[in-house]
Amino acid sequence: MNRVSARLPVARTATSLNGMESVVELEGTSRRYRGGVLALDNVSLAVPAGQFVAVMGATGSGKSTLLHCAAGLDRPTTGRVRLAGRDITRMRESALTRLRRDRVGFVFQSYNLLSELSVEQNVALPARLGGPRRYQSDDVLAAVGLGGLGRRPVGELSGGQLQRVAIARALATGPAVIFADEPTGALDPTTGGRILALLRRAVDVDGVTVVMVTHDPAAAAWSDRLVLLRAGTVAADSATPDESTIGAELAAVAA
Amino acid sequence: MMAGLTRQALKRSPWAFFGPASTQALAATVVIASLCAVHSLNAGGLDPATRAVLSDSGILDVAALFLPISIYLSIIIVGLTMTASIARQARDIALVRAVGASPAQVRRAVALQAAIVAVPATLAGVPLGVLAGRAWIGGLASHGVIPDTVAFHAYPAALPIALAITVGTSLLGALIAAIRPSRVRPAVALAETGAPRRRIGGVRTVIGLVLVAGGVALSIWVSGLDAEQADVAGLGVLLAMCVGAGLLGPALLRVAAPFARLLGPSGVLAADNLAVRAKAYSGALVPLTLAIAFAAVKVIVFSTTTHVTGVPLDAGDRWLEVTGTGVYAAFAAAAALNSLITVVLARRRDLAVLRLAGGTTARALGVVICEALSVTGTAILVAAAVAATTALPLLHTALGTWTVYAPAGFWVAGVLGVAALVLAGTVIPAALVLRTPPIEAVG
Repeated sequence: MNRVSARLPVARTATSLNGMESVVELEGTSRRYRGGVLALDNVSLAVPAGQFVAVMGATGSGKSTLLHCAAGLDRPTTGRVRLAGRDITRMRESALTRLRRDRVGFVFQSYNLLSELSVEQNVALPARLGGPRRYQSDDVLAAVGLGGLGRRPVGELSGGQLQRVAIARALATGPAVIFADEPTGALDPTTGGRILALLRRAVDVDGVTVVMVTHDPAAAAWSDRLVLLRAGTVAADSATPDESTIGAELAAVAA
Repeated sequence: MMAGLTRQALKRSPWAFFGPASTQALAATVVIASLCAVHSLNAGGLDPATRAVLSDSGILDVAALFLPISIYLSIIIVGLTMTASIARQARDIALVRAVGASPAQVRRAVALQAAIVAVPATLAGVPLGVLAGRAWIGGLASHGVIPDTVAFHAYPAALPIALAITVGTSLLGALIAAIRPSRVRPAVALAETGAPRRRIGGVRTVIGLVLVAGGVALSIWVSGLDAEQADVAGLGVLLAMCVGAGLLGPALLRVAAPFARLLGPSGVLAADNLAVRAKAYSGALVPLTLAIAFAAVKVIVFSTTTHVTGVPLDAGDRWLEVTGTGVYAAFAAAAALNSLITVVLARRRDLAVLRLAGGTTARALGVVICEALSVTGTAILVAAAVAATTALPLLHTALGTWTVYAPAGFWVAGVLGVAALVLAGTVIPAALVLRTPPIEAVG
């Protein structure tokens, strides 16, 4: 497949942050759900700009809770969370929403696109909501290999194409960080590989930070850093090893 | 299994059943009120003098006509709202079919839901119906339409009749809605719920245009007739225009959608949504248009007649017209509210996605408000056109004038009333939906 490899203009957002400063920072973060379940137990984690972090762990280990708290979609019970240079622990909901809109991109397993609208309308959504429009929709769509499909209703696209639209939407604002929750969970390995290559390129070319939750060692192998969770705590945090080692480490913490 | 599907449906979105329940309660109220009123007018204990006055006044004919119309409207609106609420469950039905529920089991579950909602809703309408019937008989007497020797009598058979109408129609509507999702292969049903049809039929648009053109032509022809013939033909104009506008509803909303952009950044998003959801919103546009047009024609004709001739309308007649129009308007309002609530509830996930993409709660609500205002504006403009086409030739033939006279208070109250209704039907359910954190709502 000959993908159009249009390069995005060099982004300024990520580089405008001090290279040493963390884009995402959790300090002693715990999250207890109403039923009493402690999903996240005193987790501290700092992600510097331009890093691709994979978060893995068994089902129920707190991966999604970690992502939701770090991205400001959920609030920790105790501890502190900084996102894109701002302390969001007690930020008001509307201010937090604007911060997410301007500095954060999301890619979910279930795509979360507006199924009735066109590809272009979905990509332009953050800008329509008042967020920055760093890139033209046509440019980001070309960059994710969907050039010329802007007017198609997203309801007519395949899973792989839907996830590319989601990535295009996340990239269009020139975010500091993209949070990806099982972005390849619903895709076959080949299609999933293309999605991961797009995230990898966002890190390498545009300097975006990526925090990705996954249960797939092959997906995690695309990252720079691997964080393993067990029962809501960080069990291991290291540079990402090769795929088979990831599998073994995951099996060890899941046991 | 059956109780499971029923429980899932009732628990997942209790608001979805608010619509059918409210129309069932309204239908029960109107049916019981009309039955009791007719019963009171025909009660055995009346003296011969009163009976003679009643048959001379023509009120018996009015009541006899009103009863079947109210039953007919009840059947339509209850059936439609129940059908809509079951149609929303197409995906759940496909899922239980996929794990082994038979079509008959699905039908039983759906029938159970309909009964669980319809019986209490109907019972809630009983006291309201008795009060309304009593008020109507009292009103007739105080406006001199009937002698005040006529007393209100509750009609015991009204309850079983109302139950038969509302529960029966609900069951029928629910079962009809369940036919397709319970029969087609689950895989097909699941695929269909993922990609709803959104095109507007060409035939529908053509028939709509023909009816509207026919209505206008008829209206021009009517203006050359004498007054008595014109009155009869005027009803034809109103019907042709209303049915035509109803068929053109989605197309009209799609034409109106770009104007939402004038309402600011939220309006831009609203315009996109309105364009793709024109068909769903048309379900609210049509009853609103009918009610406004109907009421406007009545008010224009009466006010202009009073203004030109200087003779006020007979108080009794006025009372009958007001109550009749009020009942039709109540049915139309219930139908419009139902469509609006259904549209907004179906957007639960969309609104969550909007917030995940960076829309604040206020912005999401703003988008819904812009859509509501666009629907309101379209309904008022279309209804004004229908009312003008119907009323102008009638004024010309009866009074020789083309000038419409209607009190300003009517227009203000009409616009505010419609806007309040549409906003209530959209903003309240949207605000409830928005209370769920977006990440939970999309999950």
